[in-house]
Amino acid sequence: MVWKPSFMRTASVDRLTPVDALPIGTRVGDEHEITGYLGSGGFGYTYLARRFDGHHVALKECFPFEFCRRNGLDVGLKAHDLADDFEMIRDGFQQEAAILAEFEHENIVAGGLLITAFNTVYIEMDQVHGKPLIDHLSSWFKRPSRQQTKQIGRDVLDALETIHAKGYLHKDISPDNIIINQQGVPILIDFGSAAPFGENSDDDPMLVVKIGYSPQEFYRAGAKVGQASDLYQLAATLRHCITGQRPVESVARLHARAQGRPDPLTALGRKKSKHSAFFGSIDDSMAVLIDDRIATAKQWLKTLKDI
Amino acid sequence: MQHSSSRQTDELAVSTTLQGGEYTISDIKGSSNNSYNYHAKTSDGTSVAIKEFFLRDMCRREGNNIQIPAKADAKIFNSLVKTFLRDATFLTSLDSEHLASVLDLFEENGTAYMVKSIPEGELLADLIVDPSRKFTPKQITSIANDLARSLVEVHGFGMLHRDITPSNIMITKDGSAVLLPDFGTFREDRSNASRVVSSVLQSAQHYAPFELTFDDARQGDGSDIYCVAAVVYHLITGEPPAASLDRVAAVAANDPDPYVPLEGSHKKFDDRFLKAMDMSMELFYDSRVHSATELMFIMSKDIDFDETRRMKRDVGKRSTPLTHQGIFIRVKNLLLRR
Ligand SMILES: Nc1ncnc2c1ncn2[C@@H]1O[C@H](COP(=O)(O)OP(=O)(O)OP(=O)(O)O)[C@@H](O)[C@H]1O
Ligand SMILES: [Mg+2]
Repeated sequence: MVWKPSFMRTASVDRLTPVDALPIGTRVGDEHEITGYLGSGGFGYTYLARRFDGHHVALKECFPFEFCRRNGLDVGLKAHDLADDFEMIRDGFQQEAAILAEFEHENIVAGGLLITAFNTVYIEMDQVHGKPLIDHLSSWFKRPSRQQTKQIGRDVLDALETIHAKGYLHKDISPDNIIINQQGVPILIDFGSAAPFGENSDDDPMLVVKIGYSPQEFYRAGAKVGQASDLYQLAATLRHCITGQRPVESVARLHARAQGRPDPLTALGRKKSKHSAFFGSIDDSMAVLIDDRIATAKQWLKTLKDI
Repeated sequence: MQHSSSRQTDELAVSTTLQGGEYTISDIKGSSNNSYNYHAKTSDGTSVAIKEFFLRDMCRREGNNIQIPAKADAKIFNSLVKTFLRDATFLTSLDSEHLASVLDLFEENGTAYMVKSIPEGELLADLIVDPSRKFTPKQITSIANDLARSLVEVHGFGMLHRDITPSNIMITKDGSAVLLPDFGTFREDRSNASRVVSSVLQSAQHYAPFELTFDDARQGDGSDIYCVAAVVYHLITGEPPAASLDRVAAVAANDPDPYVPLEGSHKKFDDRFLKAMDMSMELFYDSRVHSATELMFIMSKDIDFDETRRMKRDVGKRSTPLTHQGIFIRVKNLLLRR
């Protein structure tokens, strides 16, 4: 077992500048040529590429900034002793592609073909025209209305129902992983954390969490996770749409609860308004303890249809 | 895209020189998320260890210089370098048996470097996983005392170590423990609510109290003390204690704290010592042992707990030490200084 510092951070989305991105015109494998740059997350760049048949697609490259550098066009290591970490992440990418390929749903990006090149792997997806939800949250006049927020909730819940029915959890629902397309429909991308149901395995060498959105059980190896974990993340995302602020980190709430202090996250549904049923359901899905939450996507969806 | 010569990783290459030729890198050692580590030769041929501050998630290497693509990151990084150099200066003036001394500190290539003598001994991290290496109760008690003493020094300068784990503890040939300095003062800013930040948590959070990993809570000397006691706990029981986050989760759910106390269940140890460890691993900061000096008191054999608690309160007033004269005088000085 390796002892490492307990906490690392990967750079936040808006901090990444495409200095290490592949240049426009680069051929990736036999069938794709990079034509543009779509965005980046903690685990790499997503490019726009032209396929040999003339179609434009999105190509997500496995290039975890924390571990990798560019050697020419190839992906290399930042330090000589990071080979195992990188390999593990690359394996995770292959799993991501395989999981993504299983779904066909209006609110889930289509794709999942895996391409190997430059000492790393790429996932081919349809290009979603639009902007990530996070870009709509930076100022109040861009934020979705209550009605739109509710619709985002319904659509993502519908996608979650499908994902859960296949035995997976998404585990990374957040405003940067939902793209609002030109028709205003939310599309779920990024299955990089998706995994079959069950417990976080005890020997899981890495737990990836997103501050504010991940429920407390995602921070603990071996903790019980379930459908309600995804619901917490969706609820946190919807709450961000409503309040304009990233919610308080779940573990801080857990700590407060353990010490008998009041929850630092104030309930949305306390104030009487015509939205209080909707707001109340967000609160219910954001309960600190997993067993106190709305249990399934189906159940939450049902409440949302009634209101 | 410009890439310097034949560099294959972001580590400095062997035979790179620093400080105008004073140090020549001879070997590349392990990396961590906040440092690259090297061995080097000084101009007069001595071997030293060099730690380079490098935050992997924001830094790149361009030539020998550190480059930070994002402006916001560059600001954070530069202020961390400055804080670190300021805080760590005292380490160079230190001559302590139980704290590896820092020979030199300097700024170059856009970052900070820490030069240390290469400590002789083995990392506790390697020993602790080796079943053929058993520690006797006497050795464990003495390691605990050594670590407590090194904390008295560190805390005496108003600093926290923040990253005490078996990989930052060296056990010398004669069995004493030496705490290795790290860029532990590095604190990230988790407060900026406007960004989406992904974090990768690594396993082995068993040694750190809640407040060190998630800084929503008060940190202080007691945070380092928790880590020391957790390492000692591992030595006593052969397993690290329950992770503090699991403990917090259990308490929050009204379940029993999964921490298994030491007191009363390890016959070969003095119960007072075991109780001192238990008190150092109190889950919440306010109920925990508060200072390294207090820890030294309550660990020591001849001192009565309640007496110690009381003594701690009026230590400034007392003129005659109780039993451990040497320690007591030191404690008093430290308490007065702070
Ligand atoms: N199919 C797509 N169409 C358009 N833009 C996309 C597409 N996929 C990704 N993007 C853009 O790229 C960004 C990063 O993609 P994604 O979230 O999949 O990667 P990531 O966050 O690095 O992955 P992970 O969370 O697995 O580490 C997105 O926020 C989005 O802006
Ligand atoms: Mg993402």
